[in-house]
Amino acid sequence: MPKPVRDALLLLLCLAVGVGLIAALVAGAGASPVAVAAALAKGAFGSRYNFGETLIQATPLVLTGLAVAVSFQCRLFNIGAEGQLLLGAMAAVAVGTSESVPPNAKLVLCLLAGAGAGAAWAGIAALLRVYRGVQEVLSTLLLNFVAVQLLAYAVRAPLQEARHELIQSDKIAIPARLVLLQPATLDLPATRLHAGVFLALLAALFVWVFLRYTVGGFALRTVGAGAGAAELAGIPVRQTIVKTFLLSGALAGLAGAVQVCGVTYFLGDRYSPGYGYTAIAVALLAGNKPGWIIVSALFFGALTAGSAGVQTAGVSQVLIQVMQAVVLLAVLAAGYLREKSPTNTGEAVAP
Amino acid sequence: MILDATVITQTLAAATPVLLVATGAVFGERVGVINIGLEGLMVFGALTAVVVSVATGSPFLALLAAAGAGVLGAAVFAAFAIWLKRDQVIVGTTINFLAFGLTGVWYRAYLNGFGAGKTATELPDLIGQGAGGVDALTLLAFALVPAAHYLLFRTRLGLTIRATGEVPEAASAAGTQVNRLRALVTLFVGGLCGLGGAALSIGIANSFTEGITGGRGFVALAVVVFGRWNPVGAMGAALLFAAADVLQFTLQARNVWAGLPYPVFLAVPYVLTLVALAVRGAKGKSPAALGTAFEQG
Repeated sequence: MPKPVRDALLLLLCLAVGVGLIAALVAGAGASPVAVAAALAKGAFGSRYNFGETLIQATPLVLTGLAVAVSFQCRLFNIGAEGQLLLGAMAAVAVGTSESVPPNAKLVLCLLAGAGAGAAWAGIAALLRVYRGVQEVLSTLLLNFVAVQLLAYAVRAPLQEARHELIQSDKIAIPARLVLLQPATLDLPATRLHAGVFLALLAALFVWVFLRYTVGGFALRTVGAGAGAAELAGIPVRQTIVKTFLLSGALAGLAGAVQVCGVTYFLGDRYSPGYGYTAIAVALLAGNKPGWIIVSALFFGALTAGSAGVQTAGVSQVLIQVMQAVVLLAVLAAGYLREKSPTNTGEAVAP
Repeated sequence: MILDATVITQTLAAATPVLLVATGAVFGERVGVINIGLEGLMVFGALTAVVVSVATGSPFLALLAAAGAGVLGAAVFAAFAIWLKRDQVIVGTTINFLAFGLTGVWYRAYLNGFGAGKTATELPDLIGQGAGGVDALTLLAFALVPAAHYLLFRTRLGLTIRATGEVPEAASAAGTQVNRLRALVTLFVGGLCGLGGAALSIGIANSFTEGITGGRGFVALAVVVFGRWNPVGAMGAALLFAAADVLQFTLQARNVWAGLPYPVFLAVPYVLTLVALAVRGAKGKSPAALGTAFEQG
């Protein structure tokens, strides 16, 4: 059997075991696994509107998934995509609600500001790592908590809506919004699908080309394969680490801006349902490969969109988090089996 | 007056969960294991403690169960990170997802089931009472510090643990079963995390809320780094974190700088932790084999 096929089968086998475990858990909680699965499928694919919701959920997951994958390929553990996304969303709202930005430049500036803010937030972790030797796992996790409070502060003070009554921002101006792709027609109702979905696909293409065909991408992967060897080969390791963080943060920040410009148009106190954390599962299921991240994000996007219907089947929405964990465990177990298999070439793989 | 006896006992209480977890994590990292999932193990312990406390009315049985829950969660970590040799950071992250998800499902079922409208029996104070009280877990957490220090630096087991985290090959050559020792220490750390979670849910409060740990498991990891992988140092750092936490709460409660929205205060402990890491970061040296898998030859 060719290796890629066997690897795929191993992963599917492990995922099947995981699905079995979840079914047992659902049954143990007193609900019917079949009903839950049906509700999930209906919520994700049951109608044109529902499928639109799946794509809407997948869009930020592609971007944050790419953010995580880029850092993992460099063996940097950026667990802070969540915080970087929040900073991106804040920046997008700041630009989108500002009166002094010319209308026809608003959307582009919103997206750029989002990416920039995400990159800057990740940059803190990069500088701490490079100059102070602080493990990026800790700094990015802690920065997530700071970002949550920063957002809570922002919607109470500098970005609060003009009447200062509600704990949320104003809506961004109409020219700053991403186009809706499926407005209502005579026959069909509107969906919420927006042009950000193309932006996510473009970003995946960009990251793929960058990693595969550019000097910068090569440096990134070489540092990921071994910083010592990269240093000997003349690759500026510290510079590569900082650049990787900036790219990773920019992608996560862009996700935040896309959510603002495409879906919510304003910021509330609790903004993200955890796209930055789900991103870790998205990236690992995809083996950190940009193309597969699209597939993986669709899978998790469908889970998230579908979970809206799960409540009715008697199991709460948090079951989705369990599913994420089980998928990750399945990926890890499959990775182990792959390494153990006799034809394993022993080549190093990114985390 | 901001500093009074209540503030001191509150600081001790606030330090307890972080200190229990950090003391464990010192051992975990010294033996070569970095576990990002400590936060999740705390959540497991926190909910288990509340459920058992409500079910049995005994806070001490609840502590036992919480420690057991932590050990159980740590066993999943050990299976994947040590036995299957998967990347420790990723397994730890997965443990967090698993813990947040499972406790979420369980907590909702509990609220709709026998836990509806009931409050947990709180851990009784052994010294003083009310806001100025000190409970058994706080005493345990601080009593563990000198014991841990002695064990780590003055006993043969401590030496073996440290050697395993520095040069596992050498420890193995000297007869240590590296992966077995790492797994055992990991389970022990899990138990302490369970207790740390219980310190939040039936020690400081008498209920469970989602997000109850608020990153304290991660802060504990930072505390270990700041304390230079040393139980006494970790205690100092945990107290510092707790003092910042109590201070921000006191400032809010007493309307100092009333113009500032409260999130500014809530961010203080995390920012302080980051600044502390930045100040001490470069000087500290982590165990050489931290986070690496060991292939028994």
